[in-house]
Amino acid sequence: MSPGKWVTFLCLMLGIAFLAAAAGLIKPISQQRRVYDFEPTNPFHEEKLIAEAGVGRLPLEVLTVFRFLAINYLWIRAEDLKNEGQYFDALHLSRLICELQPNLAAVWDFQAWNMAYNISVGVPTPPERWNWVRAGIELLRDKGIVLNPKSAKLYHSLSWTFRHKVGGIADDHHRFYKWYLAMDMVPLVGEFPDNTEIEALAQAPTDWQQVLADADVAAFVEKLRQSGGFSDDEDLFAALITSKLDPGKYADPFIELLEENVQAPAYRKLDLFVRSRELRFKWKLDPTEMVKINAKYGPIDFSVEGGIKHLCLEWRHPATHALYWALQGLKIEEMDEFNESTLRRQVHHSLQDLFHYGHIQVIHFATPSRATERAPGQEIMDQPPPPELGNVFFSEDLRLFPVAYQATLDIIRDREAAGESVRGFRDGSINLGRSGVRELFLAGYKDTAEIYLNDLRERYPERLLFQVATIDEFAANELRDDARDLTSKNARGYINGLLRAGYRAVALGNDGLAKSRNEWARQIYDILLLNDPEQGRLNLPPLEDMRWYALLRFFDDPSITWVLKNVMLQKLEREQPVIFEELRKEMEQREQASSGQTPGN
Amino acid sequence: MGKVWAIARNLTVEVLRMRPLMILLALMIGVSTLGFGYWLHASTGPIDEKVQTFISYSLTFAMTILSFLTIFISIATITRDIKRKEVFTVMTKPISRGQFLLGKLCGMIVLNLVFLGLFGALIYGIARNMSRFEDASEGQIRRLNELVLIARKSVKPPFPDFRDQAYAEADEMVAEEVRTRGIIDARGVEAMRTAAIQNRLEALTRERIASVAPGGQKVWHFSGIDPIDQEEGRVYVRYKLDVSYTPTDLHVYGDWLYGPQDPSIAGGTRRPSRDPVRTVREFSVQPTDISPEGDLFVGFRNPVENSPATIIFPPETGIEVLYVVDSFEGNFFRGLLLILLRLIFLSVLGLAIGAWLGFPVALLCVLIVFILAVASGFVGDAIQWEAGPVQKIIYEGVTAFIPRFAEYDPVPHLERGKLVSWPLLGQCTLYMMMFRAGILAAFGYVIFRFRELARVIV
Repeated sequence: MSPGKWVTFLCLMLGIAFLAAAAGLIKPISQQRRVYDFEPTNPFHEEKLIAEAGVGRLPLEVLTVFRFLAINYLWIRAEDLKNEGQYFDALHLSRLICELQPNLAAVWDFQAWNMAYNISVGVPTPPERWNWVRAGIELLRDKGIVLNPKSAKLYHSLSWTFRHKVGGIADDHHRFYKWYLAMDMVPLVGEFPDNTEIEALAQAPTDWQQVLADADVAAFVEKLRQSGGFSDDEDLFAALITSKLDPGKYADPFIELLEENVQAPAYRKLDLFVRSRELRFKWKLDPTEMVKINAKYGPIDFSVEGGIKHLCLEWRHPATHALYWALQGLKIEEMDEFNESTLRRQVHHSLQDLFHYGHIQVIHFATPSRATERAPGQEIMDQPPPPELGNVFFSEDLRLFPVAYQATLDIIRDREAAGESVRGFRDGSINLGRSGVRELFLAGYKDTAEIYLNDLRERYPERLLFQVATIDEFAANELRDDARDLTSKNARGYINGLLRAGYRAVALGNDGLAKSRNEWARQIYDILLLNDPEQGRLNLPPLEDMRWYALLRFFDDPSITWVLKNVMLQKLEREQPVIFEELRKEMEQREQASSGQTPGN
Repeated sequence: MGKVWAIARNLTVEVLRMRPLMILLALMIGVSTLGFGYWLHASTGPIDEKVQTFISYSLTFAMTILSFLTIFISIATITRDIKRKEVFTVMTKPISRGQFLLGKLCGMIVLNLVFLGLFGALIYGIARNMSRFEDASEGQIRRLNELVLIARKSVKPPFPDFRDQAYAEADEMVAEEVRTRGIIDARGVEAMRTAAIQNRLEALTRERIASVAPGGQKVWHFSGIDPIDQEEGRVYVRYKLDVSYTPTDLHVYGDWLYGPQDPSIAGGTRRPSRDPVRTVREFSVQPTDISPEGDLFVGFRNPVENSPATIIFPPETGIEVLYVVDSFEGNFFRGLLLILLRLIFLSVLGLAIGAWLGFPVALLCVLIVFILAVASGFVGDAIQWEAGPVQKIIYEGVTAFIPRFAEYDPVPHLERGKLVSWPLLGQCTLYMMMFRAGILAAFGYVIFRFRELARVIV
């Protein structure tokens, strides 16, 4: 054998030896990967999940050590691009980075945060911003969590993004995010979601062939395909959903066929399948899980006596999505204490948000193509033009107080059981309980308010404010506290503000809140009169007059949109024709006065 | 010259007749331009950013593919001729070895011109016309034409040199640390000094140059602004704000005042703003706000509404003035010339090493040089901050003859609508071509001149 061949042989042997030695390290490396949670899923199961998620995984093994060089380079470039304002490119690189490091939850978390929080504020218009916020949400929900199902951090981040970025008010365009989310959810859960509908969605078949097995449905689908010219089932599904909001986008025969069959069982069956599928595949919301969450955390129906009945949660609300994802995160087994605690807080805060802003009212639901702005100078009594964009309003939902309060108690109980400090949680629970009891009392749910006052009294004997004989006494004390700081300068403004808030709640259809604000104003008024021994020092006009002035101020207030004012007018015309007529006259007089005319002319 | 051209033509024809290679190249050109353009068209995004992305990736891809092609062909053409003894048929003719090498180089230049022309034409055509196939808004088209498909020159405000002060302060700090803590390890002291210098430089920059406290204001003087269109102007102030305290809505208010004279004294055009932090922003300035001599004073006031946030303009990216000096076409052409210079350098390198070594070893050497040249920016930065003085000297010595491609990369300029200037081309020609490529060519010639191509057997 020549020396060259000897060298070749030696190299080959060395190579085999190194390979064998490396193979021996596979077991400890795998063990380490499991310890650090790099391999959270069974590869076979993961394949299925990936296929479901539609994730096209890169052949990472092929890249060998260059993968890490590529990751480094991509991180630097993505950051540079972001700094230079080249967001389109940055988005794709971020996705690529995540796919190169699919099992590192922190990477998904960082990139999603970057998209939803940092990059989104760099783009100027609401639709562009929403694209970034949604991209962040989708990155976590559709890919990050699928590939890292044991990462509580990702569930928390997703829940936080829904609650804080979309549901909060920190972003300039937060109203648009809420509107976009509501617009996306309305075709799926309906304009007024209820338990029956969500249960029907949960029971809808999940297999398309099973749906088509029904001859009536199959025939209807065939007609739809022909009328709309759909060769692909996905296009048909999309059309069935988007046509609810934007029928003008589709051929007339298709829309007419849908309208003709609106009561047909075949359409109903098809519709439920398509909506349920959209919820499961696109939104990753399992209708069965939604039913369970409604049953546990849904708002309380106060009209039911002698038991608790949970109504349907407002699935158009970002806090409900936050609640859903926090609860999904809590299902992870073997979670560390910190993650569990943060997820529980998310549940608690989501429910609190739903209590404070959970009542949602969408007025004149409009797609962008139909929306216009009211021309400048037009007055509210004029014939209204087509509705403007984004008329989504949020207000307090009293029915969620019991649920939110119970969530605080659950956290306290769990923390106490674990021997952890509950001080902050107790304060939070007390404040929530205090405001809830007062709101319930003012809204007329005196018995319910009393139940919660009793509970607070027993739990917190050291808090003197709860140690009162009756709910009336508690409410009187609360209102006296409010009235104590009122002077002749601000008393009128305070009452006026409450009354106007009441009118706003009327316009939003939130009767409980309207009643609460009205009652609050009345009681404060009474207290002020009682505390005014000289009967006139505060110079308060009669309450009825104050109501009338507050109504006028409601229509003068530039911060209240014309849409709400218009809804209020329609309600008045329908329910209070006398007041409506007086208001109309007043408005006409004002307009004539402002144009230099007198009524006699 | 005829002999040189004959060899050049021979090489060109030989390569162009390699059908598998040409088909592969055509596929690559098609995929990286038409395919990538279509993928971008199908994706959702603003047209200006799509074109930016297209220019960036398609040009980078073209540059990389042509670089590899150049390396392979330039080495193969000479090593294969020697190995297969085909060189005998040429060298036995009245042609000098220098002419032989020069002919090969000319052939490589012609090939690169052809391939680069093809790539360039396609990329230019798609970048120019992409907006026609998109449902882009007027604003997006405007952004595309004014910010991307253009050539803008940048003027930055004068940046006082704080280095001496920073070094002095750092030395004081290190001396104090050494005295109080009794450190004697030289490496530790050096590392501490490096960190202290960096720290003081950043602090001094932040304190004296680039920060505006709530209620405070700062004025920058930009000079030499000379837009191509004196009537329309098209001058932009580009800035990026950082903050000492991040507001919850990630936005800060600002009050800009600019004009041909110091606006804090003479007044000027006012522009209130509300901008996201750490994000690039631009606004345009009218020609009337610039003096005939090309001076522009830009003032920024940090309103008290932002309190407690001090606004910081990062030294490199904080503020600059951009003005249009040329069209995209001229800029793109100069960008392609920069790429051509890079390819010519690689041809010279390949031929020089190929004239000395066999194909595999030569290829390895050239690829190492190529990778170091491409990664020069990244490696240079890493060495600057991480390596000790000895490592730095070694790195500088090793890379003295390796061009820093990142410094002459036209892609960042073209994708951001920034000028690829003739001085940059000249600099590239001087340093990369005349200095490094010239030495390499001389080395290759000397080796090849004295190389024994065949042993004389009697």
